[in-house]
Amino acid sequence: MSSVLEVFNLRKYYPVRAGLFGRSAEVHAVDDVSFHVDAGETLSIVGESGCGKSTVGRTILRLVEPTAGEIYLDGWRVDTVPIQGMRRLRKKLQVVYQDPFSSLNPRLSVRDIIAEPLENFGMGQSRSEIDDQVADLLDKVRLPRDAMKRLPHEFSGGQRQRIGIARALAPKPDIIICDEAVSALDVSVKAQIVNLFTDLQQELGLALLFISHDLAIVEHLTHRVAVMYLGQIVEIGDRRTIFSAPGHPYTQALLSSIPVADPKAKRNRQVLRGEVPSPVNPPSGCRFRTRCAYAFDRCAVEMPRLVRKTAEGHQVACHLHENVAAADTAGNASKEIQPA
Amino acid sequence: MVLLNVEHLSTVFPTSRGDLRAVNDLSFRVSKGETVAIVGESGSGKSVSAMSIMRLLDESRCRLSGKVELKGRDLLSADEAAMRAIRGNQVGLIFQEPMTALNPVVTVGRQIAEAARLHETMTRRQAAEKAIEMLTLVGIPDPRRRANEYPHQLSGGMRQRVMIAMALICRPELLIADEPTTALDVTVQAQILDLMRSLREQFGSAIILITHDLGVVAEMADRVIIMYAGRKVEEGTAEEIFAHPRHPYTKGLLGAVPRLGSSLEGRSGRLVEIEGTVPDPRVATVGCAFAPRCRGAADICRLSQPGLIRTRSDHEVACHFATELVVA
Repeated sequence: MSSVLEVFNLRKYYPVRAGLFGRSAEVHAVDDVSFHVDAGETLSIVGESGCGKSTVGRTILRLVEPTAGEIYLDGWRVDTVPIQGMRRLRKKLQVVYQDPFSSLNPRLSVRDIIAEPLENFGMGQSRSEIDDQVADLLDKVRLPRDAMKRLPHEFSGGQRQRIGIARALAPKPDIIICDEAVSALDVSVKAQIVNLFTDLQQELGLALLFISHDLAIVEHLTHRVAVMYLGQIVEIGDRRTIFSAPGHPYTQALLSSIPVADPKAKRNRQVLRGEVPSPVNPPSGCRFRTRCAYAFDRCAVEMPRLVRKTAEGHQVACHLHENVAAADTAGNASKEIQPA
Repeated sequence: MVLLNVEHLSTVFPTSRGDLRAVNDLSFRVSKGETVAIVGESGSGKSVSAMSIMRLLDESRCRLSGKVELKGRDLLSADEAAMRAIRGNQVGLIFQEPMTALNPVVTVGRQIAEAARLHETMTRRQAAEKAIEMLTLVGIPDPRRRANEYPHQLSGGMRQRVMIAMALICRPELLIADEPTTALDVTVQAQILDLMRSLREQFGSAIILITHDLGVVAEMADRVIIMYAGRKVEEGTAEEIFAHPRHPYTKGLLGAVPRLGSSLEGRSGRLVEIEGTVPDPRVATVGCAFAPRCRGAADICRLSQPGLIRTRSDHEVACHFATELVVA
């Protein structure tokens, strides 16, 4: 299967002023992140607030400029294209945001909101041709066609999110980045939108980069998962492996933190100590070591690299796993996990 | 022993487009030491009912009716001075957004001390010591230094700990927690839930937990109240509600939440959907408010509002078909 999106050694540092006299420092929002998304596949990036998952999405979209790294869309390099040239690439790369209230222009009718990308990309010759496509898109997201003439404020949160999805689908993209696209919705509506994403993917063969903090939703709809902590991917693998046999202590703690909707469930919870350290001054060595129950001397000194554990591509960045993995990865390291 | 008794509580906001019935004929009881979860989606009236009970709404803009009794004492007729003596003393409050609930220009230590001095006579120094004691209790590292910091210097999880410290400093018999962990990351949420559980044991406080997160409910609650469009549609023990939900809305909610472990069970990729959206609370409904979204709705549902039916000694449901479902 070919990759729609490939990201190598992506870094995004933000300059910040620290202290009273403006000592300059850098926030390492994304630090050496590599992954790929295959056609028709969903890759989810999960992690807590501040882990850099949204910055990854924004960098791929070129809403923020990457500090370093390479991004390829359908084999075309994205990060070096002059910003004017991005227009052509954005046809293939669309986004759905978290907040359906602020991501739609309140003064445009639903028809105009969805027609805008069609017009921008020259995807219709006449008004009626565009209207037909808009009607078609409304069908796809299960909204009534008479929604066209109405304004965003007339719709509920879930319906607005459908409008946002229709707009993203309009230019027939290969991949949609969903940045917390269902997080702001109520439980009953969330299920509708999750099901819609699943249906659309099957119908259209879309690839999705699903950025979310909600692991139960992610497990439900994803194919593969990347877990981020303080700007780095600490574990990546297919859904079954990550959720049934997580390798990284952080993934394990994250999964055990999720409350289970069953009062009789036996809880074997690992409550993490403390909180996420500042990304301005991340801990030396392994960034998770300050909260890790298994940390030992080496963790403070040496940063663990992602190493491949299985042939299916399960990778973990943890010293505990290196010895186990060393044998089967020797001489077989993929370009994905090589430092630049 | 019944600590809080709420009977036929209604909260109505008159608007230019008609009366908005945020809470409609709500009755429930909270016993000493018990944790009751009020569950619902946005607009279900769960937060407004808590605000009404504590008389925190601007009453020039809404009408409260019904009865709210705290240990036999009527709260709806109490004056503001009496309410102030109750809030923070007999009843502690925790809100979702600790950043807006804390004063940004006062150190957290002083804010906690202030809460203590409002209700008990003690010197500033004693109150400050008590504040540090509380900060230690809620697990804030280096409490003596943290007490001198301002809210913006603390992380979200720490701020929520400060809120809990403030709510518990007078050892309230009832704690009302409105979405206490919604704004927090899961690992921090786990810490805060752990903390609430251990403090509940230590202080013996009853808790009203308002949330939309069924996972949090399952972990914390003894009893569960499900609200929809301002009304209680189901109430029962947590075990009963999760194992044998009777109301179609409750069933829908439980099915709409994906559970961890779904990939192992090889379940197909669809969640239960509740079609449509929550109704506009300004539009008065004749029948059951859930009928337009209910797959089992019949004519009677659109014509008459179902009353609460007791299907078991510890289980109430507002559905015309509740008893039939029991038989089925």
